[in-house]
Amino acid sequence: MSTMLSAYEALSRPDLEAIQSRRVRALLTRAYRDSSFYRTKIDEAGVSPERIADLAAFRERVPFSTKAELLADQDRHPPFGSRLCVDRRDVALINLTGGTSGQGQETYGRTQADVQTLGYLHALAWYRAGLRPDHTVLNCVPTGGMTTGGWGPSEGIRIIGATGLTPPAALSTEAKIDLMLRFRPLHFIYASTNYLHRMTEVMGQLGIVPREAFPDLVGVFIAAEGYPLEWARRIQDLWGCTLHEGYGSTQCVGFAAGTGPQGAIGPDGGRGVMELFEWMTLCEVIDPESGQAVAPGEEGELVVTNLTIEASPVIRFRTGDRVRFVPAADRASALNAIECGGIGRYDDMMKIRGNNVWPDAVDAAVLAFAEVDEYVGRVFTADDGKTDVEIRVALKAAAAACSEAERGRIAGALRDAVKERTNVAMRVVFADRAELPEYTYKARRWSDERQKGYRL
Amino acid sequence: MTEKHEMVHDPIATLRQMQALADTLCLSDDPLIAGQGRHLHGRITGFLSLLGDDVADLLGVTGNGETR
Repeated sequence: MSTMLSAYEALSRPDLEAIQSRRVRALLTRAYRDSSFYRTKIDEAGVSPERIADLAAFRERVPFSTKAELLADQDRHPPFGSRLCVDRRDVALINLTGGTSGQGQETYGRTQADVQTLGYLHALAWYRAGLRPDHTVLNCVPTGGMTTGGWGPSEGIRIIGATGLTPPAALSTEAKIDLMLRFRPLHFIYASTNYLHRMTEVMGQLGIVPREAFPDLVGVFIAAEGYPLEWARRIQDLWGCTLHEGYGSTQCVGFAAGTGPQGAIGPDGGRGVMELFEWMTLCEVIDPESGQAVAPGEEGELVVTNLTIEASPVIRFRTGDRVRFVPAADRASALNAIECGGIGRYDDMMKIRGNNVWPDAVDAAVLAFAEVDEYVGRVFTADDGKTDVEIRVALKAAAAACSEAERGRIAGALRDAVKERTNVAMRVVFADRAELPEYTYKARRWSDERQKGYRL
Repeated sequence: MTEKHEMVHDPIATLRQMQALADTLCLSDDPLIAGQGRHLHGRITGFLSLLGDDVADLLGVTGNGETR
């Protein structure tokens, strides 16, 4: 048992909100003093930090911030933007968001203290899910690079005192399973929803029963993608342990929420909840139109504020993520929560193989070809369990009549252009124009059929 | 055992002592020692924050070898 964690978990709701309130005031004071970006925003809202006496005043008077604002600030004040709250020399790590939105990459400086927090905000979710010192944990999420999600897992595993098994992303699933068998006992797995599905499928093909091959597992932990409830039940049965889920992002500096001991399936057999780590990240769930808090049980957009981050804190950042709000009062707990399994987006962003892909970015790549008339795309789970992406392209009449070799050249160029824009390889197939829809208002070119393929 | 008990009892006070020691490393003329001192200092600052040194009174720990 962790006395460090239980000190927070034992708080009453009023005590927790007192902690949030003090940290919010300290954050606003510091951001106002050290960041011209936040000073301008706060001044323009006609408030001063000393007048934000409590959380209600914070929610009522401090303005939201958006990705577009952060990017514009970076353009004016490269490379970190004027929201950086520390001396440039104190930045020990640079994190970037994926950049696949087509809008640009947010830049985040991290101090040494922030890096500690970044690791802890991974460790915290996994500790609550059962990972302990001396355990061996398989990390299937691509490591390194510029993203927070690439750095956090290794830091988190070390903070807990566990042994990390982090195979390179390019290694085949079969080779990863070999490693898992070689370094048994294995106690914990961290993977994207899709990759856990893929691993389960490959084990089935190899005649390996996960719960028999890895009887020491205490949990499998997924993030990033939704899933059907039936699939979650089947995963628990096949792996013989609890399925856990976390919600996190670069803006949250790791996980902002995670399942407790119960896991991703609730006590009633329905969807479980991820409790919000509210002493670290202030989370609001709002109606995206009105900006007001949603009622208990309703869906809304998650808005986050980092309470202890030094270098590049976000304040009331609109994530665009759609969550279902489960308030503390409904759960006899001090912590608010969000529902498992169904995190969505208010824009059309899709999470594909760990990349954030906006249809606009694919539009920009595909429709830039003069030969293209229209296209549709679909993301689905292929028979082998892997995520596959197909774009069906209708060429204009003149191009459609060209030689097979020329059509092959166009297909290759389309594939390259899409990969460059999104970092995701997509298959290109040609279709007749009549096979594709006519759009009379806003084009809805994409369908996400992955959950249909999660059958085990 | 007594020493271990005291550390667990008041990790904030322990970390503050460690941070003061890391500060002395930061002052080293050797840049490799000073750099590692800064690394340690920053990590300890983060650890202190995670333990709640800024809200110790609300959380029930004082950082002075006592619990509320």
